[in-house]
Amino acid sequence: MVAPARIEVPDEVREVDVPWNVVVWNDPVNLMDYVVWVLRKLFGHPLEEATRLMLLVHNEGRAVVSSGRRESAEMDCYRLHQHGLWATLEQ
Amino acid sequence: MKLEPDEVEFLAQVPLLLADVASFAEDPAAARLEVPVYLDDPEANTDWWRLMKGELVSSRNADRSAFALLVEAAAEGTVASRLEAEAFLRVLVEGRLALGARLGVDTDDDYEKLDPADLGALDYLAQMQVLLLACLDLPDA
Repeated sequence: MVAPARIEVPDEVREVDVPWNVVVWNDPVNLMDYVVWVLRKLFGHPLEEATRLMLLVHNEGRAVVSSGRRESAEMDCYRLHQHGLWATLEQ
Repeated sequence: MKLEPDEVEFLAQVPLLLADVASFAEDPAAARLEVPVYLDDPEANTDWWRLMKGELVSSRNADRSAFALLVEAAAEGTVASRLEAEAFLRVLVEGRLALGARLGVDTDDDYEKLDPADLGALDYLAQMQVLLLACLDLPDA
């Protein structure tokens, strides 16, 4: 039995297939209730899920709040900045 | 929505504070309102801000105009639409972020070092946010 050769994944395939994460970071100024409100408004999360994400941000310093294609993630990032949250993108 | 004269006077300063952001070099408020989006990719970060900054500035300016009109009208008492109230809320947030940045609030402990008047200003803006959030409650998904 011969082991299959390692398949090299071109960068362009990785770019398309690996989702982009939108990360919200903790800051000492934004109110916890406001962060929950923004996450519910922008992503339609139920109160419990938005609260869970906000507590992750507060306790761990950051939380992934959405994932998807780069264009969609960049727009989510824009909307979060529009609401004063510090959001970044990572793959 | 009805505001007392001292509240009108105080809140009318918020758009002025925001218009002053980036008026001097290394303004921490400017840095807070234009934080990096791609932490490990300066080129992608520059591209994102090049594409998005104009739209973000327009959106923030529209919010500030709505805020200023609402503050003026609230001296006599007025009813805000949901869109106006959301714009008002975003300006309160932006104002707190800018003020907090200029006062050096980088951690929760930094609040203890603030001058009482500065702390009072941040607290008042926070109280206004809480009141608005109570009015802008969202239906659960």
